[in-house]
Amino acid sequence: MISIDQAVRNYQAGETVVRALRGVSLDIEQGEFISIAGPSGSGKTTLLNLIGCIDALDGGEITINGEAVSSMNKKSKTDFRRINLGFIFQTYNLIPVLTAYENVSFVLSLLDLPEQEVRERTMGLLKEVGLEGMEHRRPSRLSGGQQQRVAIARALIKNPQVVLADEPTANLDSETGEEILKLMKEMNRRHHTTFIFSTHDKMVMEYAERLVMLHDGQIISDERRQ
Amino acid sequence: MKFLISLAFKNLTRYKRRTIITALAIAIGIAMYIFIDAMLMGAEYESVRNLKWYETASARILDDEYWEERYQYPLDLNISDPDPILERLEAEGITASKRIVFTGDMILSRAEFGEDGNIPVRVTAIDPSRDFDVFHFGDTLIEGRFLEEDEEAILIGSWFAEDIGASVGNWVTIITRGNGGFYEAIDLQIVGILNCPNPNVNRTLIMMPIKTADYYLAMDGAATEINIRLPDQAEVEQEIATIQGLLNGNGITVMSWETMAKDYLAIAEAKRGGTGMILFLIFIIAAVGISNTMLMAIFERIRELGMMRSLGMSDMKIRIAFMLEAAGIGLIGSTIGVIIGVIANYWIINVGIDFGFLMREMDIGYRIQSIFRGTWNPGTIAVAFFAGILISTVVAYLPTNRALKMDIPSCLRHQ
Amino acid sequence: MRTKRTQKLLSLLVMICLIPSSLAAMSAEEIIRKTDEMQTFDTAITEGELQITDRFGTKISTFIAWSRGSEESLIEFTSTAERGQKILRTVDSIYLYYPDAQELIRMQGAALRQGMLGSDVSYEDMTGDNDRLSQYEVVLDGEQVIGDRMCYKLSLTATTRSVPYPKETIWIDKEHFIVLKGEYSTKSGRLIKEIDVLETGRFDDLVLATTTRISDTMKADSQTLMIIRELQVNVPIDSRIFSLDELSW
Ligand SMILES: Nc1ncnc2c1ncn2[C@@H]1O[C@H](COP(=O)(O)OP(=O)(O)OP(=O)(O)O)[C@@H](O)[C@H]1O
Ligand SMILES: [Mg+2]
Repeated sequence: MISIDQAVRNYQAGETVVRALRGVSLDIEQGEFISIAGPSGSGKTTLLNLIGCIDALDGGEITINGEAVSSMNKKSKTDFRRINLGFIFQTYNLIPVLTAYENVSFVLSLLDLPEQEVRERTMGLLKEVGLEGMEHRRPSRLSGGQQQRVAIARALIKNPQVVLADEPTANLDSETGEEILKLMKEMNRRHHTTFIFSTHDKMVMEYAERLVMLHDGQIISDERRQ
Repeated sequence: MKFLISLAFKNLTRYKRRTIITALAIAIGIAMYIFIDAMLMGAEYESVRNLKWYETASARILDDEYWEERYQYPLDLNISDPDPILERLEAEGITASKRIVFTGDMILSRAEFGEDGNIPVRVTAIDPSRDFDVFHFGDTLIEGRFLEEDEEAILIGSWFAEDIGASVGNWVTIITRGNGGFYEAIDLQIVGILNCPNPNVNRTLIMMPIKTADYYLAMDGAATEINIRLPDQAEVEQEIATIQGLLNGNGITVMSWETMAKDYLAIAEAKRGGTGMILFLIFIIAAVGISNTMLMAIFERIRELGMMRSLGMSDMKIRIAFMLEAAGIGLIGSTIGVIIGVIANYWIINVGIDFGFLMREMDIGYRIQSIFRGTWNPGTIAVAFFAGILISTVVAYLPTNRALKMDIPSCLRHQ
Repeated sequence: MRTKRTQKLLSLLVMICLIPSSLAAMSAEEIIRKTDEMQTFDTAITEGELQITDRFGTKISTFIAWSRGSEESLIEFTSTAERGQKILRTVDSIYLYYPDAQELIRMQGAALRQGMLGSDVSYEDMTGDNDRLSQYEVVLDGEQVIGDRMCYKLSLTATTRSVPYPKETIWIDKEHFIVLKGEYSTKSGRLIKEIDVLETGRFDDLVLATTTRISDTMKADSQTLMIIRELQVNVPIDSRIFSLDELSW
């Protein structure tokens, strides 16, 4: 479904060129629960950004559903993200003036769905991620874990093909982090959504069904587990 | 769209203080716009009224060549037989009165004024029985009495009286040139002081009976002008055509006050342009304020922006979201501004500002002696209201654009 | 009794012998005519100055004037402040030329009543007095000593409204026929302007007023002194000098 072929990404940092990805190749199937792991600066975020079509390749190619990302224009990338991709961020990135419900439902309103459907789906999903009764709280009245649950719901609400999560547990204590991972895994199983998440945390890697290790912009191992 | 509107309004509550300060800046701009406009419109209205009431009347009959030479105040370019014309006008129900206007030097003697002095003056000789039907001096007497038919007496403006240190009872001498050019000296007693609301008049006014002037200046019954008062709602141009018809040439012509006050009206027009500039500046300041506020708002939310963009929200929608937010600030500002403006208008219209101290010292081009009063001007209020919203909205475009130029990963990494 | 009468008769005889018989019988009109004649030259070039005093102080302006007959003249100011300003008087008009603005102004009507350079001499005063006899009724009031000169005292009463001064009293030096003093009044006799000759001078065989004081009696703190320093009469002057075209030179 996602095919990464010799992906190269260089950044210009002043005079020097940082080679963030130096030819990464990877194939990801629908429904995988995959972790991109590696030390800081190894290129995890860069790789996720490229898959998420919010960054551009300097070499190689990424093909999603048979379409080469490099051939998509800005609008089709935006459309692609709106319809097919969910994002989960380390810092949750919820809109503080909106309630949990609104933070999730606005994604659907971007898709111009009827109000009734938006309501039902949002309420249902919030319940699924364990936020029943907290729909009308604003982020400031939710714990870190609860906020990340809202973020998971936001990423899943449109039934995307892929959810990209850049260090989703890094801001949480290990217990909460584990809960979030369990939730993600459950969602993965239930909705058959592909999850790609990055981490440098050993414990988090444990949850992955497939673990891709990056080092200095290159894949050093790619193993399936369990 | 509904979501964007609700998001915009919710975002407004996010930084309440900043929203309020920015809205207040806009409000002050708008209130000032409404207030200044009301005041200037009022001043202009009153100026024009005072111009007509005390300087030009509605229309004036003059010798054909008089207007060209008006600054010389020529006595020989006169209406040689004004009375039949007055009778004809009266028969038509038109109020009119004749005048002789001449210039000279007013000589102040040490005996009367403590020191010798002389000042160039313009003297208006009036028909005491009819002039106040045309001009509005009737209720301006503050000291002494009005003129009688045939006496060696003058009325003077109160500011003029102050300037020369004159009071009722003082004698002055006017040295002038009679019709033909001969020197004449006329001793005249100040019998009354008028406080004319038109400062240009109050600063210079000297009135004497036309009969006396006629005698000294050897006018043989001629007048230099006949002034006409038309009802307020009259079609001036049309009336003038009628009057011109009555005159059937004879080397005399009738001019409307608008023609006579052309220079004044042109200046008023220019002034309107100038105040337009001030108002424009007020708006620029408000615009800079809101653009700054929006820039801050946008850059504080740059990660959120990155999130929305990565979730596939189009640039267009993001732009609309921020512009709606700015429009919200504009709406709050405009609403407060209109409220303050209207309250301020109530005050300027009913109480007014006393600029007497200023008007006394110099001529700032308004024919108002002291109190500036405004008028209601609903058009301006509406324009100000919508302009406040529109400008805020438009001004948010640039900072939004700047944020949208950043790539999404940078937005997400932004601290 | 008898001796007294004889004495009177004698003295009268002596007087008659001393005064040229042609003058003894001069009428008022003749005096005026003679004076005008004495003041008018075929041509003249005059250099002099105006000392204008008002309540702000005294200003001195120097000038050179060319004149032909009594009706044509050109005055050019030479003092720094007004250098190059010219006043041209032709038979029927007065023109002012300002070199800075390169502006030519024809003076007419009431504008003629202004004082030249802010002095007490108006443009109208410059032009006046050409045909005094046609505009005034002249009466010889007798003789009077002004300073140390014996003068004719003449009263002039205007017969028209188009002269500035309805009444004039002038004193004319009996010997040189120069107006030594003038008083100019309104109809009712109020004094408007005074002219006093403070000094006379001799140029070749001509005697003329060299310092004349002109004052507006209504303006107590102002006066103008007109001083003539040089005078050449009947010298050839290019007639173009009095033409309008040459003025802007
Ligand atoms: N916009 C950028 N400009 C310059 N260098 C960049 C930029 N983005 C990333 N890099 C560099 O590219 C390399 C890979 O960065 P990346 O963010 O992908 O690492 P990472 O594995 O996500 O690290 P971390 O665990 O710290 O998040 C790093 O050396 C980083 O400094
Ligand atoms: Mg990273």
